[in-house]
Amino acid sequence: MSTERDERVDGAIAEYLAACDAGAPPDRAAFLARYPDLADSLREFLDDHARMRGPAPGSGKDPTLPHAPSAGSAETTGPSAAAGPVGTVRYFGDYELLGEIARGGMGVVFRARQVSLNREVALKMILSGQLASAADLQRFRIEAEAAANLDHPNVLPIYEVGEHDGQPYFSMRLVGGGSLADRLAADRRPVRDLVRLLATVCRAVHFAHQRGVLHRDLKPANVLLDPDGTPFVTDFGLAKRTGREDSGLTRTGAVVGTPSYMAPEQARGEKGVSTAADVYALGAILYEVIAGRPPFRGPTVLDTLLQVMTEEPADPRSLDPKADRDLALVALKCLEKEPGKRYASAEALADELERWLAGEPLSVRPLSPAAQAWRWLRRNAGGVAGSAGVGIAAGLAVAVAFNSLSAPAVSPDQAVVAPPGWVVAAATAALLLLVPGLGWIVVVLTRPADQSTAITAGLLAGLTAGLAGFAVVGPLEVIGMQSLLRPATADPAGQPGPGPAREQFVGAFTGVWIGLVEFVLVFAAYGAFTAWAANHLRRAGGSCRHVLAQYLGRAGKVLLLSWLVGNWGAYLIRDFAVPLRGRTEFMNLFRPTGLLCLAMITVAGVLDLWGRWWRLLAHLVILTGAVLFILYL
Amino acid sequence: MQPADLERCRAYLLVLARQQVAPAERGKLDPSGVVQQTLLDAHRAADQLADLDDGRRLAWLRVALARNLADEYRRVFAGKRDARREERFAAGVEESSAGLGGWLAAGHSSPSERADHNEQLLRLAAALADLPEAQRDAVERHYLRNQPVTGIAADTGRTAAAVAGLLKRGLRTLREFLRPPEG
Repeated sequence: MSTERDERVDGAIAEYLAACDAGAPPDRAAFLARYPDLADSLREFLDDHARMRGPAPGSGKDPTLPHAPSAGSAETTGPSAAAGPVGTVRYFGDYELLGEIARGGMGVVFRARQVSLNREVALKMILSGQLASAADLQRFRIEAEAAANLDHPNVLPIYEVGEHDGQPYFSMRLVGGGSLADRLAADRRPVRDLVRLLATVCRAVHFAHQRGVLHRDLKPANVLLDPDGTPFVTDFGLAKRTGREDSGLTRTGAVVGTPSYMAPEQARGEKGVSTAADVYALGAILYEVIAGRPPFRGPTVLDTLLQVMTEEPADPRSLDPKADRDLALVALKCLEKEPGKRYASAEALADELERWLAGEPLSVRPLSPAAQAWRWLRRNAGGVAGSAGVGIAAGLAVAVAFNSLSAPAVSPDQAVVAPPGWVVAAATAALLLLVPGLGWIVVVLTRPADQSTAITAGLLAGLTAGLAGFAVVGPLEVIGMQSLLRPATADPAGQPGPGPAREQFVGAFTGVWIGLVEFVLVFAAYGAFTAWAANHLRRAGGSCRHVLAQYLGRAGKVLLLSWLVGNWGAYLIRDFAVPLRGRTEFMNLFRPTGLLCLAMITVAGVLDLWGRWWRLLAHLVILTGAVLFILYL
Repeated sequence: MQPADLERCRAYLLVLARQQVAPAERGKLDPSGVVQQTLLDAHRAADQLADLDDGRRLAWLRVALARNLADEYRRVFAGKRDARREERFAAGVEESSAGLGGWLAAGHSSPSERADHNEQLLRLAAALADLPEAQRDAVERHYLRNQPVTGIAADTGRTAAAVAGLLKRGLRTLREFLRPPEG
């Protein structure tokens, strides 16, 4: 009798459990009512059963790894792998469960339909139901609380936090594009897109930091992507309010966090974990983006932890030779063992990544002067082209005009091909416009934002003028110079004569080389100064006559000064290096330049002193004397 | 740490180890051997363990158990060293332990309650080990590995009602170990 009763009890229990397994636990009272004679035994079992397991659907505890793909979980789990999708419709409060999406360290995420609003959501529930330990519950609540308070376009929105049948849960937006981990596994290119995505993630994490929330478990699997590729940071599973005391959540010694992305201070279990730990994790993700794997991955969890604490990460470029050098430096800075050596915030990292995207210099590697100059050239291509164009035109005009005026004197006995008269006339006109106005034209063309830019543009124009001019003058000077050379073997009569050809050539070459340096230096100094003066005067404003007088006066004096110093310096050096016959040809060269300078100064004086006749007269008398002196020479 | 203290952890570790090894594999990969190895490791590291409180000591044992399981798995099945497998074992052991802990009533927030929790965990594991083999297997399958009753019945060649009976009797025996802590 009692055996028969036992069998009936067992059968009823089997029926009840089968219904539970199918995801549709029968109502307790109704179930008991169906077996009134067995009620006491059944109630006894139901109490035992309820104590073992909460009413949570799918509260499976099969030992699959949180982030391991579901395929392959059968390796060690054996029979539990049989727990597959359930055919019957399962409800959880307002939610109709449509399927399991993921299984985390402490929660299961379901795809579910919120019946009242008829929308699909992701529903996260704690694994072991109402019987979970207090620590689990506390973590779950912290997660829900922290995440629900974050309203940011790139933080996965929490719709509802609640409890049903003692089972805490929260619902989140359902995003359908997989996670960054899937994206990285599929394809790590193009890197630029991933870096842009990561910068967005950094901003979202910074947003959380500003609200006192640490993520503490950032990894590619926790960055979800919608079909457009917009990232959502999710799973503030280990989030902890930065201001709160350590609540002992890790006291059990359970391995918390994913070691490959875990900061060393977290791996050591230190209490004062800060936002720097999240910066580290972001850097570890960046590292994976460029190197193809996280910075540390040992054969075992413990090995990985040990590496995180003690070893320096390998240069990403040793893992992927194509890895970007600058991004590698950025990642390695994030992975510094010392939190203080990392980027000060996730925002600073975002800024750095955006600087990289924009091709700007990074804080990890300031640009070399050459690279800076190149960058300036690239950014100011129009201004650069304008400055260089003005410079080239000025240089050519100077070369053609001056050479035509002075060449016969330089090389009386050489047949220099003289350009046609109209070319000389045009060159002279261009010279009269371009040389005095060099700086002014450059400033008008480039509209520099500040004085250093103005000076740079002027310098550039001067340099190109010097080089262009010398391209024409140089060959002529080689010819001219040879005729000026004294014979290498001193002739007692001092007569010019042919020395050994090689020595002649070397002498001429040295002379021309010095000439080039002088030519370029003088023009560069002049261009830089006049551009500076022009920009200064343009900003200072004032009447047109006044500005022009000031500009021409300064330009004329500087030209005179630099030409004198340059020429004299060059001729002094040349005298040591090259045995010249005499100095008269120096003044021949100087004459047109000197006259030009005096003309500029004169015009400036006239404009400046217009109306103050006595002073103007005195000014003109002095200048006339100077002109006569130069002509006499 | 005294050998006797370690011995008290054996049943607990054995429960965890069994959940990680599919029945079909147990012929080759003996969970009790792995547990024995783990206890030997603990004995050697006695100095280190002496400084830890009970919770951390059990955590240490769980980590060592997972590592030994992975080593043994590699040895037996001639696999390569695989970080994922190690992680899976580690996670599986943690989850089984959490599942076992889940049978006990919730609500341990003070250190003394936590210590009590660890103590209860060991007693529960010992009680589980004392169950008749068939009952223990059914309880572990259904309440730790979440296997459906019909699945257990198919695997063990019993009727669903017979499995339900095993569960009923198993839970009845365990009941006294599942009571919420006093106070």
